[in-house]
Amino acid sequence: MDRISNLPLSLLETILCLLPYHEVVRTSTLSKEWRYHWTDVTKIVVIEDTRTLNRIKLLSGVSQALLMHKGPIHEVTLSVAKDDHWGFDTAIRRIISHLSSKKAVKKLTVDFGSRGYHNSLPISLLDESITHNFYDYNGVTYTNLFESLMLIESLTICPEIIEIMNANWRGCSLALEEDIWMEHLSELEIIYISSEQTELDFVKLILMRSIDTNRRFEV
Amino acid sequence: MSSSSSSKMIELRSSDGETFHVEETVVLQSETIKQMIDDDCANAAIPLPNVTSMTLAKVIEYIKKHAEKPKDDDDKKVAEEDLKKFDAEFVKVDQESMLFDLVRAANYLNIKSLLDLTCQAVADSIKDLSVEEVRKKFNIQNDFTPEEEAKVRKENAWAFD
Repeated sequence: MDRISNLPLSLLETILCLLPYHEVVRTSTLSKEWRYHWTDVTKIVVIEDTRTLNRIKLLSGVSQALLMHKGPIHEVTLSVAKDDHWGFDTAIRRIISHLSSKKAVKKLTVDFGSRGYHNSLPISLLDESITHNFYDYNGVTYTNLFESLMLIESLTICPEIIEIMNANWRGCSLALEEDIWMEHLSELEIIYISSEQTELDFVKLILMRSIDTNRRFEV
Repeated sequence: MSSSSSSKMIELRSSDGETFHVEETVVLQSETIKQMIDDDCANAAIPLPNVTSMTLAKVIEYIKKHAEKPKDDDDKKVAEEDLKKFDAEFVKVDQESMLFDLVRAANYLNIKSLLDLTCQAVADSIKDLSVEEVRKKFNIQNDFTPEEEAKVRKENAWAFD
């Protein structure tokens, strides 16, 4: 009798959730019984290690694999070094847009691990419905961005997030016309911002639009 | 009711009929048993038909260790370190099957920290292994034909690099 397949499904799933996603996917070839277990995991950890040969291939593989996923996905961690290759943005956008369509992700952690200021501090956006547009930074409109932020409970600002936002901000006026408040934002942590005007304006705007926030600055 | 002294003993009976006496405060780490005690079903020995005496002895070793209370803050740090060491040693079991028995027992008895610990140990034990190595380790019979296996592999070729 084989030992692991004999465990109740819920326990198998708990164990699979503790493995990096590419290893979870590999279990599909163990045996017929294992063929589709991987499509049910609720937690996905995409992590690059020293043995990752091709980062873009890993990410686009993940985005393909997600198309076959059956169950809901509640927790996602993407931990890969940022890459200037054109395929990087595309793959990340595909992954995020796929997760958006599932509408079940409660916790998303994106860590592009810039070797600079903060190796271990990820952009963590905890939110019940971080679904639309927030990361779709090529096509997002300014208003969409803030509509998403309305539901966010915890926001950590570090260099990458500002960069992502800036992509859409150039040419936008910072005066927000819609009456949008981030009423759910209970935690705001700013780890780093440069003194560039757009970034300062962004932070100012967040501060103006949030009320009961426990603020921590380490600038 | 369970309001009397902390040294009240609870009797547990394993699937193979062995009985164990454990302090109530210790055994309360099991949500399953806690529920039974709360429901006043713990006057006689509590039968645990899913747990063998060997596994139960291990589980009791674990919850006893985890029930120790540090005296002060200094002691707390030392105790935490000590507990970490204990946990690391605890999952180094001689037989793989014991680890799975512990996962199952922790699940049945609903002891969350033990379940987390043992599931992590199983995950760690397969991390970085090839598919063939995982099969061997867990005695999984490969019932794919070579063609079928190649096809499944091709489906997610990226994961095998």
